[in-house]
Amino acid sequence: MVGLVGGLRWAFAPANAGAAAATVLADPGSSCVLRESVAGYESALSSANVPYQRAGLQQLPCAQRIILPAAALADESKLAQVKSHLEGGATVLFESGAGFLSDVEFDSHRRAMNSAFGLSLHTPVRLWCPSGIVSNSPYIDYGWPIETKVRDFSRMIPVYCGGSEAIAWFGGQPVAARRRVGKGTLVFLGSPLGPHLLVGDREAVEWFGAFCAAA
Amino acid sequence: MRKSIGDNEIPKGWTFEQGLDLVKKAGYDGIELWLGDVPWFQMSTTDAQVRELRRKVENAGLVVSNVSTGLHWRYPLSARDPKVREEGMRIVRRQIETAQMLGTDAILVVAGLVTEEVPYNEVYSRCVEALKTLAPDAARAGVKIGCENCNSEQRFLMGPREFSLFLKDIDHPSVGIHLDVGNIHEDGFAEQWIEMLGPQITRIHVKDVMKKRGRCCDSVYTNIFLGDNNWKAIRAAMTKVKYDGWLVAEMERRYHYAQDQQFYDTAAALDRLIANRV
Repeated sequence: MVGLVGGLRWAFAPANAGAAAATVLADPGSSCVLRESVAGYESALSSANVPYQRAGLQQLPCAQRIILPAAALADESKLAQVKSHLEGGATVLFESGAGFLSDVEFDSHRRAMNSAFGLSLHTPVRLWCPSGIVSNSPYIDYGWPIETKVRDFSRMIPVYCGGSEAIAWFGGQPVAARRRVGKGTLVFLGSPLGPHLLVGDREAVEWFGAFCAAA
Repeated sequence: MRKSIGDNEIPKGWTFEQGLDLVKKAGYDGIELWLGDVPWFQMSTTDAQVRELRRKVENAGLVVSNVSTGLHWRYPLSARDPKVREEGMRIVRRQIETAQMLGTDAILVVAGLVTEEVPYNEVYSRCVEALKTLAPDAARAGVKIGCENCNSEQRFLMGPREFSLFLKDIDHPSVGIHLDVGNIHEDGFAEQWIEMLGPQITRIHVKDVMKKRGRCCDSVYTNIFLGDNNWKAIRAAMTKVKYDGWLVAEMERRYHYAQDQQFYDTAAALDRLIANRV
């Protein structure tokens, strides 16, 4: 996909600028539902001159922050690997692409996420019908790390926030959460952000910049 | 220039052969085949059946001018759902394959669809990406992909300069514009589109438009010379850019009675346009 993000810059002060591979862009491979999301994070990181390492889930290097774009993992061994990084102190941005899975695939994903991280996901919601959006506004309201609005991406995974802190809402319903796992932090996004990064959505770029600065 | 008309204009209940007979008798040189829009040409139509379609067209004394489809309204290349997008790509690939089998060198693609749900910048990016991917396939088959300007319905690429930049971003000689002179409505002037995009025009769809009647409603399109297009200017622009290709009639507004008469009337209008007697 053609990135339109070029030219945009976010105010970004890396939390640990001197360390190699402070950021790892983890490609979920066949478990990535939206390839454009990977390209989106790649484009945003490159555009902001943030050093990052791209890696597969099989050999995930240690890093301060790990980004998993449009992931729909149901493989317990892969999730266990992500969990081990969390327990070691990493911050993992787990962007869910599971809204685009079939019902059966989603059930496996939901069970695996619950088992690995104690995260309870609700059934995906289709936000659009032929007569328009099901809510009054097509925006996800983020409350952390900055308050901003980013467009929806047609389908969202509501998240049950017991033991987690809700960080974004759609029509009042939590769709993103932050949760301590071991020494690390899991940031779960129930609405994809990567495709918006790829087309240079200003607020998405700002949110991601703030996330990198905070993580 | 040569004139053609779509097989989706063939009155309902007629066979393909009956339709070809009418198209030939009305004086057309060719026929546009619409993948997915007519019973005889579907995604499930086999290669052997496609070759049989070609044989029937040639037996009728015609050739296939191009392969079009309306399937991209349902399966846009710009969809957010990757499965829908993949189906859109499969449709284009089938168009390319069948165009080659049918002996034509052009297909029509409705490249993207801006909606309330899927915003413009996403549509633009996905379409460029998809067409960059498809262009080498088209080149190998000796086929050009003509992206149609469906301005009002697509809400995408509304001006000729914007369309030109889109083609520049795709940057492949096998991707151009299938220009519809009736689709521009009150947003511009068809002759200016022809001037600006001349060498990149793969085919021209011909119909007239009543510019002041609003958009996308049943009554906005009409027969050639009945609407608000400036046909003298359109014809002059074709000469200016040396367009000598197919004029493909796309009569969206159908006769309620004597449906075959529309084929004759449209052919006569195209003859006058080609002969520059407007």
